[in-house]
Amino acid sequence: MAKSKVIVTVVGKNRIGVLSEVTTAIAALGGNIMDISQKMLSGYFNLIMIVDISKAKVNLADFKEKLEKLEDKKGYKISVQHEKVFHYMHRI
Amino acid sequence: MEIGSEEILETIRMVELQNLDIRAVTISINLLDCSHSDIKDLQSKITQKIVKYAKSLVKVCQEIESIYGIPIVNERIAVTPISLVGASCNVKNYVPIAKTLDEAAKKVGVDFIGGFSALVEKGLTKSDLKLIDSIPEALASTDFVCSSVNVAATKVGINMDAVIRMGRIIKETAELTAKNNGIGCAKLGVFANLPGDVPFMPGAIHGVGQSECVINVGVSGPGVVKSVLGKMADANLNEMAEVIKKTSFKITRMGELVGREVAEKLKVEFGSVDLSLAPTTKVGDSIAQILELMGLEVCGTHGTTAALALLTDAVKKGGAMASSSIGGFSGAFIPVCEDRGMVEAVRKGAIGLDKLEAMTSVCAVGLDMVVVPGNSSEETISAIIADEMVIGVINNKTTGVRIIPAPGKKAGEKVKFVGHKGLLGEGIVMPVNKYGAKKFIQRGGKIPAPLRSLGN
Repeated sequence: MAKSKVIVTVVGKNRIGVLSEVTTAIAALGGNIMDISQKMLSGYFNLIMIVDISKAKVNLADFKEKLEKLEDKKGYKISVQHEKVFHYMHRI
Repeated sequence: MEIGSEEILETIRMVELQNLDIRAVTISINLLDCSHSDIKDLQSKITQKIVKYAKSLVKVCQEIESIYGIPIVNERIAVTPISLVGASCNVKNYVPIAKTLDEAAKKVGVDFIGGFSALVEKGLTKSDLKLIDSIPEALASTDFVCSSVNVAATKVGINMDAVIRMGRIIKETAELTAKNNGIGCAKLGVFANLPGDVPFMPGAIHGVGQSECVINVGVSGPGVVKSVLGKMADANLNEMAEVIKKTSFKITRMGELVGREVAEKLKVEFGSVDLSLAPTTKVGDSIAQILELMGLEVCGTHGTTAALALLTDAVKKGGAMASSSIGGFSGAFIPVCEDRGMVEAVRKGAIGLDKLEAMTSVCAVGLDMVVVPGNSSEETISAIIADEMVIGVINNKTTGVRIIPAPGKKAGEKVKFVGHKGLLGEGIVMPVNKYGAKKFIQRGGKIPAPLRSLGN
């Protein structure tokens, strides 16, 4: 695909170190975080990152699989989606 | 950020919480070049062609699902109406062809294959008759095959000889599948103005006049629409229409994206997105409940037709902007058994056949998954079909009937359909009018095309 940006969203109960864990994992896979945004609602955080994986060590499917594996150990929900979904839905 | 975080969260919410999904990705394949006078050759050519085009469909859909995070619920196949494909074959009936379709569907891993069909709006060829007479056995002896018969069109009128025949065929199909409450009839539709690119069953066919192979997509989002309307307690009707329009735009965009991506990966054409808001048996995924949110005490009461018309119109307007190619039914789907709110409305006595018929006159696609008493006569079933066909023909829209006379069941009894991942749901038998129309139906012939057919 011409564009290789994905949107990574992380939702979970807030605790120290969440942001660090996720960004470290992304860096280890070779993803370049282009933008980041976080919202907190009653002790739960919503973390949204735009990640460029064009120079990543793995392809999108593996990137997604490895990142979503963090869910089991860390107690939060991670989704990885190609940015096209959001462009298609929210822009004409 | 290019795309705002609120927008991202909105998309995620739609999928995770509101049941946004792609209801059907249907690969639609031309089989006209498989025609052969020898049945074995015909079967072999059909199998080869279907496998050639559809073998990677399920895998590709899984990949797209993973990349974009939008669930794709069903993968299906539609083929050229078999009455056309089998016409030059020297065979007594077309049940063997149905079995070939069934096996091919199982081989590639889809959950339905449509196209065991005939287009008879103006008359019946020998092949059409063979196909129609084969329907009961074909549907009883296969699992995934769906059948449709187009008996009417605005341009030509209604073939009442075909309507009579279909009343009988529906009864026979029910009898042959009596063990599962007449489930064969859940895979059979009778239509007026059937489009050639419907992704939903049982109306999916690869219509004539299309290319070799296309991908058609059906989206679904009653849950999403319900969720946005739930936040509009005091809105007036045009404010609601506006919100439904915008939501429908977003839902349809998902269909457009997925359709294009699947088509590209399979190296076939992208056909169209069907805008129908199709309910499922999942909690929160009900059209009836949307109508009740709009302010009806129970779906089926006075005002239901108006509410549904507003909903369907707004869905179409929003969807039209979202896709370069809208097709299929693109209307409101009210398959009674598959919509929890509808089943509840039937149970409460709030809705019956008459109201459902009224709803189809403005917006709904037809009398869908309607269960009637098993002792309903074939003439009554034909008369129900005739009413629905006329609505389609005069209003220049598609209408259809998927009716199940559940053997041994009476009005008010519950009926459950086993299999197909629970897709067909369960229903309550609705009463039919205690008076008949035997003489009217038995007259046969044609109901001529209405004046509006003279459009040139």
